[in-house]
Amino acid sequence: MKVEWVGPHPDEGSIHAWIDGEIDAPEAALLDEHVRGCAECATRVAEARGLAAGASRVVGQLDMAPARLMQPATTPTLGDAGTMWRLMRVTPARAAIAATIIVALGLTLTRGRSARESVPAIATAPVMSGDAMTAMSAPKEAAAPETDHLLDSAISRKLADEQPPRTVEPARGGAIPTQDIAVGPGTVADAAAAMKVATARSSIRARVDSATPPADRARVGYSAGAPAALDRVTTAGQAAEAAAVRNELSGKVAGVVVAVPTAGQCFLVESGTPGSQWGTATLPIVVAFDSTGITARVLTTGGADTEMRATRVTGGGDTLLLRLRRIGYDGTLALSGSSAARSGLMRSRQQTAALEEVKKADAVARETANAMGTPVAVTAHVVSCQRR
Amino acid sequence: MVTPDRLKALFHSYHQPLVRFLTRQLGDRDWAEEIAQETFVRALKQETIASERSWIFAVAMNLVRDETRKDARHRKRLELMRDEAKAEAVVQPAPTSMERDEERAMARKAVDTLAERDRDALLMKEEGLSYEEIAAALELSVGSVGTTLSRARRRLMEAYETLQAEASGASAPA
Repeated sequence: MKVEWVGPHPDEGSIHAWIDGEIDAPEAALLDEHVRGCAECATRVAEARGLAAGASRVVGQLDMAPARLMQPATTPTLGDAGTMWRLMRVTPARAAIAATIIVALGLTLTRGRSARESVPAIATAPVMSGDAMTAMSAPKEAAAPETDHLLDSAISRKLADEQPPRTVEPARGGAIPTQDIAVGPGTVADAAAAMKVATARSSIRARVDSATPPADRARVGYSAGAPAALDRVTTAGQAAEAAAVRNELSGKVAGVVVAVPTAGQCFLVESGTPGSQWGTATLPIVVAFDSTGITARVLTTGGADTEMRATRVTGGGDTLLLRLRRIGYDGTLALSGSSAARSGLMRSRQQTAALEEVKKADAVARETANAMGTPVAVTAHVVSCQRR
Repeated sequence: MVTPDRLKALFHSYHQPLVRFLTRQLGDRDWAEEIAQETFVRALKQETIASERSWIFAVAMNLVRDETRKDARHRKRLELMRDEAKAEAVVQPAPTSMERDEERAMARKAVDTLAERDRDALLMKEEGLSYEEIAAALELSVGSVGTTLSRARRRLMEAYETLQAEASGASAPA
């Protein structure tokens, strides 16, 4: 775009457009020249960069807990759970009834079992009044002990599900800013019903939240840890330095970048580590930006398309940061150095597809503290590329 | 009509960023999914789409606006209640995730203080839309996107820092 530059100094909007790489080349050069000679504007540019990076970080924080929910198709369990709650029109009252039945059933089975275990002779006598209960408990016992674990965990999980809504309900009364709400009785009823659904839904999320903190953290960390990571990557410049900070970076590269013009450019990305991959693309690869300079295709050095796509992450500075765009994969590629030759770190990993797998990944993440994949030191050069 | 193949391609390219954008807008993943879905349904009915990304984000924005106009206060209140209910829930997750929740709640509040247009522009920028695309989606002139973004960023950071100061003031030992 053109700069609308009236008066002695560029306005704030132009400065932001400039750091966002949105100013056309001739005007950008003018602006650059002005800023070099104007201490006041240099300060304003620095401030604008700070604001842009800060705003990126704050926006990234919106994803923090729900970021786990942001994975496409990776958390069908969660999405389904929300929908199921709605479909089933679960209200706390109904849920409480269901819980009561389950608890009763659980107690019946437990009592039936323990009675049989302590006094085998009694086992055939119905512990609870109904024969049905005995009949139900018999097959469960037959499959013990595995079945017992499953049953116990199912019951406790069900109970855990029900607990948050109950614990929060008393507090809710005080928390509602009733004076702000204009309303007839209909609205109140709707609000209450929707609230119940929302609470139930949040309880499911809360359970998953507490069940998988490190995986969750690792997955969202790449945006949460952005500013610190940016500073490091920006100043690193060398793969060696990048490698030195990789432990601190682990899983949280990102959230930023680029006064670097990338429109229509191609970068050849190479690694000293044989067989390194970004997503499923094996290095060396060519990252070919389209005319927007934001989205890029990942090609082989022969120019063949791979399934990987990348997006330039926005922000300011001279670091080039890309996020891997491929359903089922997470990844980042941070390149620093302002010349044609850059060096940096590349990570990627396959996303896990289901809650059970997330839990397993979580256990792995605890050990490696690195759910975004092992960082690979890479170098990159601008290469000419023919659009195919 | 957009062909099923084209729709599939659109979905692959834009679904994830759109849902993230909408979730950031609305603070509700399920709601965001619904609106994203409706957006793609509308894309299917289109003859042609000139600037895909702008079109998709603009349609999603309009759907959000239609819905929020309907029950803005209602939603806002629910969100507030849900956040407070979460905060007051007896079963608390580990400290690290508590901090995270606080940070997220603070970010949410700060983002909510922004004027609608400023917030839309900022969230679109964060999804990688160019000034031109943002201008098309929000029906602004390209020249005013920088001004809109600079205002959005400044106000967001001011609001966030104020909230942070309040929080640290409140939790500081007496």
